[in-house]
Amino acid sequence: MRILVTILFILLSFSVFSQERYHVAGLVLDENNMPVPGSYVQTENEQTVTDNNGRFVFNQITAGHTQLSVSFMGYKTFDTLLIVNGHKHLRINLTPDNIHLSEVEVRGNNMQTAPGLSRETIFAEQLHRQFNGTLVRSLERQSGFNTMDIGAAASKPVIRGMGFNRVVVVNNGLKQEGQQWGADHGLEIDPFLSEQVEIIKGAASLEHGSDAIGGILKISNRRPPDEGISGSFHLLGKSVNETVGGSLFLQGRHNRLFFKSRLTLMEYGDYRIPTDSIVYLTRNIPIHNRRLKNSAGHDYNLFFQAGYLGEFWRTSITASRVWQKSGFFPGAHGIPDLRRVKDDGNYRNIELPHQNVEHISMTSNTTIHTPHSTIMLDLGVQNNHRQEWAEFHTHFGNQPPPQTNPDLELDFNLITYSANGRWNFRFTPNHAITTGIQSQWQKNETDGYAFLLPEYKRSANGAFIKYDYEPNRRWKFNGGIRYDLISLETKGYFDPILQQYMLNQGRSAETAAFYATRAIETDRKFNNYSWLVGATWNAGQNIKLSLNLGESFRAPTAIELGANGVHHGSFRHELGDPHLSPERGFFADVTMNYKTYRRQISVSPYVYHFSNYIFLRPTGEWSYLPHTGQIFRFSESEAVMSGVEISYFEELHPGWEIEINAEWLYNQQIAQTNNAAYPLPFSPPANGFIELTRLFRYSTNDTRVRLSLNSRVAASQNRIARNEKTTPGYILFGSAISVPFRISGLNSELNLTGHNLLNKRYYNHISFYRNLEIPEPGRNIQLLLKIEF
Amino acid sequence: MKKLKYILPAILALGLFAACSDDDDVDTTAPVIEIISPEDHEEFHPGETIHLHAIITDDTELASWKIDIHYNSDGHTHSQVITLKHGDHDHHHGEKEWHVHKDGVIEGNVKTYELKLELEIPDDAKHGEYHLGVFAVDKAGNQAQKFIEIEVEDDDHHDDHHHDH
Repeated sequence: MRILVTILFILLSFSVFSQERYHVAGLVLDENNMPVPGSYVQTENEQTVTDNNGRFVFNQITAGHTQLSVSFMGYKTFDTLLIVNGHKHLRINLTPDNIHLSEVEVRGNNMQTAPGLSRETIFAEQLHRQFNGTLVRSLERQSGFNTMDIGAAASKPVIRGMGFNRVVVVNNGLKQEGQQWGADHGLEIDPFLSEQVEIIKGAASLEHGSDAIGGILKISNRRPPDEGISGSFHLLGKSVNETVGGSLFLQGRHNRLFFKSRLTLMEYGDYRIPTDSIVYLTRNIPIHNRRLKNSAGHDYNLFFQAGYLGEFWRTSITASRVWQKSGFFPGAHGIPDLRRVKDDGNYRNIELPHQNVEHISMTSNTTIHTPHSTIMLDLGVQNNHRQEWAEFHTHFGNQPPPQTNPDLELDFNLITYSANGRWNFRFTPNHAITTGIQSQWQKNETDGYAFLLPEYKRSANGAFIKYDYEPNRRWKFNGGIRYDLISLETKGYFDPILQQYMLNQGRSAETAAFYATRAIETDRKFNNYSWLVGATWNAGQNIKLSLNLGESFRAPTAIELGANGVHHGSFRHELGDPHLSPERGFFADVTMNYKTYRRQISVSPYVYHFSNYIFLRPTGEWSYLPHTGQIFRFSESEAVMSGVEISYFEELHPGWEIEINAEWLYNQQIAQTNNAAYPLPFSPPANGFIELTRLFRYSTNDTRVRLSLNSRVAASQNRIARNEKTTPGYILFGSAISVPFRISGLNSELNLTGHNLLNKRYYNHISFYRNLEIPEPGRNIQLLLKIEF
Repeated sequence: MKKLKYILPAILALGLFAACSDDDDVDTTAPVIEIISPEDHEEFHPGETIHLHAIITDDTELASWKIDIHYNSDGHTHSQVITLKHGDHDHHHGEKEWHVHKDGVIEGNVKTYELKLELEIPDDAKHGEYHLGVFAVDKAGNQAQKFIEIEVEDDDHHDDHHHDH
């Protein structure tokens, strides 16, 4: 019958060939006026799927009447008879079909209508189920994604083996500052907050500025709530460090106005590690009662958003504050000393040394949707304020303690203003163009009796243009280019105390002056371009292949250009090079996706080539600074990187699911006259994650109970850079139980999770504490209770 | 499609090529340092000589050594803050923090090197705990270090300003 109807339509369309044609463009929105990507739009003789911004265009609609229908899972099908007597611009609001809405939402958003890079999207519900202390850790199971941990309460993201400044974190449209700085600086995000997190792998610099050579971690909290007041409450308990925490979320909407707010409080004690002693700077340091002394801390986070939903636009203002105070293990801060690691009988006190980390941000996001255009404007200001406190100590006998705050070792205060504008224009069903500008300005101030980071001013401005072409439903192409202008001015810092110390040691005036220049004054401008081209081919019903090629760059940081001194903790004398050029990386990757209703397989091999990868090179020259070995100089080297990510998901049998994610990566420098083909530092070993889940209903309750067993495996890392340690492989076991239930009519969920169940002593090769030989946290049993109201 | 067909194997091949390329020059094994004397926590007096003897070995080729002796100001409970409060006290004794930095090149293609040094403790060396570190690097820049603690004791008068004892 259907075939017959189709044939009839085709015949009809032939017969009316000579008539006048018009163009019909539409915007499909849901009940919250949010665009619905991936909805199916059909006229009598054409069909299409809405793009990422919920838009569709038909260019050749014959004058007359046509039936138009828009359908999307979870929503009632929209049907109308369209009278085409000119160009039409439509706005279509879908009404939810109340059954199974939440499940469908996820599926709908997951649809990738735009071609492009290998990416994974994780939603709040899943994030909460996988909750593991920090946002980054909660994402750890994703292939191609690793965490660089600093104890139990802070971590930073690593994508494709690249971290620090090679990964960009975008929070509600704007680049978040912070995690890319020091090795002991985690990502400052409330772990309960994110509604949606996207991991984009590959050099995705076009829309978010340079630096995103490894990839982007994109966080958003912009979904407007339903009418009325609603919210949720989370209660958290962890055994590894006796965390007690809670998070209260409250949101409301009245017609077009809405608000969202969250308050999170967490307090934790010293965490447990499965060892009785560690080795730090060749000394055995006892770990009393297998708890890492002074690793206790607390997190107090606040979030507030207010917004307005217009007919074709929406806007919101978001304010947030993340505040963490956490201790450092005194046995590995400065010179090893047994007296300081003695059990003080209190596992919850935060003594010196400790850090105070504060991130305050204010963001405004505005989006305008029309059937042809999407315009976005994001403005923001953020302040990173990080302090390290440690009892005043000096290696230079002649240094007096400061008058005020004698125990403030380091203080880093960065203010960043950002503005982004983006315009996406779809003029035909096959062509869309996106263009935008980004601007960022920042200034850093420092304080404290120690010196690490120079003060600097940095401005970065860039513009991009991107073209999407979709000749038919099988092929999609995209290409874009971006240009950035970055200016970085670092202030020099001359330390007369150190100069005098060197002179007292009998060094020459020249040597003393060199060492006393703790920061080299620089004034650099980096102008560079990035580009990206991609193609996606829907090879069949279930198979999709995409290919991406691109080139991206990263401007050297203030430390890489101007540092000169000992980086405490690593005890390395690090020396910047004011003449470094921007790091350029070329990359190519292929993603193969196979997707049926029950099975999803994705394989993505990739390769990178860096013309000048910036790394710390051991010079073999001894530093005259006390307690220091050789000087490490920031240097450039040609390097290659390659790897493959595999992920597999299958519903094996009704009620049984399996998930396997694996990653293998390889990198090395290209041998040069003064440098052999060494592996790059901080490279994660081959690793994998496997989870088997049993789902069942224990009553007529709609939601299912989940019972999972999982295992995380890492190979040993024997390919190391110079002065790194090889790290043995490990196998960890974990489990999770998720039970939905109702308390006095409120939807609730109990999540009981076990991490490292066998209490295995293992090291994460890329963690901050690896070099200090501090193993990762031991067994953790975690309870997370969620009540929705 | 045709393009993809070629590019995909090319990327895989590139990856494999990179994986199989020559690692021969790569040396990431650090030297090993063994301090024969002095012993950890050995006690000395101002004016005495420390006979430092360390054996440094490497799997390929040693490049240079360094020793560093430094007063452990961190270890004392209140470090400089206390020192300042007791400033007069310290001056009264006329003691100075003793600091040694010595380094040397290890000539020739050597895998084992015996480091022997005579280090005289100055008469006015401030008594207390000192860290003695021996460092070594090989030709590739792999660094090793070994730390021990030594005590410089004041045998003339055991007075009150040794808070910890």
